[in-house]
Amino acid sequence: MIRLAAVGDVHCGTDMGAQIRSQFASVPDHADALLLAGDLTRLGLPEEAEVFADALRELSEMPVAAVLGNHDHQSDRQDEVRAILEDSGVRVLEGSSVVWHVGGAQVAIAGTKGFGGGFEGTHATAFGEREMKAYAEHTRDLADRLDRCLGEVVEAGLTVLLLHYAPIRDTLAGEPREIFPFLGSYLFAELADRHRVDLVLHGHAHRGTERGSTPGGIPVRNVAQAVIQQGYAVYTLDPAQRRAGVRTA
Amino acid sequence: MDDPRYQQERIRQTLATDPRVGEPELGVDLVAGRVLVTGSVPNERVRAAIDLVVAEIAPGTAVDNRVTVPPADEPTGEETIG
Repeated sequence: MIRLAAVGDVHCGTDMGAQIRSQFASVPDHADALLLAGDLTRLGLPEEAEVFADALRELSEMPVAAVLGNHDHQSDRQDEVRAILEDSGVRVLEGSSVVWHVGGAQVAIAGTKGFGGGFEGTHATAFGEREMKAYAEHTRDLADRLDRCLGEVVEAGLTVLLLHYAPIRDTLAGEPREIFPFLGSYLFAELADRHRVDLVLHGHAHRGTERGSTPGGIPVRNVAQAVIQQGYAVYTLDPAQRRAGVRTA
Repeated sequence: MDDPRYQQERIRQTLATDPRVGEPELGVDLVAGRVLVTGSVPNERVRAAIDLVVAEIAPGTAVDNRVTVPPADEPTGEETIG
């Protein structure tokens, strides 16, 4: 059995070191690895990332992976934020993956920030003004990169997809429908179904709902801290019960 | 005088971009002449900053700050997937 702790949208400020340290101190008692679903910092400042990374150093024996969120991009210093996190041992994923052997099994974590666009039937299209095309194409570019990444981890035992933006409407229930196109994109659900991943985790939608599933039946969990109402959620996956289905590269 | 709906959105935009708050996910409504703010922020300092920022944009308007700080407690259970 693999036990994964997960949370998103911690929004660490420079005055939150003790709070973050306390929040994650018990993770080793409950889980084999920690997954962070973006918005680790309030304003995407390197000094915020330093505080967050320093608080995580006490988990040095534990595998930790993260994606960045829109807050981590707010100050246009996301590359510095990423470097600080990686220096502390956090694997920051963007169209990339990491494979761990934890809990007696192998698990691949593939991740991307993701982006908006909306959902099947009403998704943004790359048509019209340059700005509109850039909006739609950014999501498509991230999805294409993740598609290639998932194809490469096809042989891993279990696969978890880690996102910031939502891949489905279900876990947005509670948010105003007008902002759905800014909260996620169905392109990432399509990839989860195509590659038959075992679990999708995301954040970003603070007023959303924890549980949902892709059209293909893959479990999706919104782990935004405001949604799960605790320091982190714990999900247990059993490699022996891995869902039936053929993965395609 | 502006339509209150424009003022409502101006407050929401400022709460998103003012670095003292920096939370685009907050809800802002005008209810019975009061500014009702909902949603979540990471700590009490940011929650208190909401009142300051709204007072600057809408001086003299009462603020009903119902924003919460989500608990960060140790989980009491786990979910088995599959």
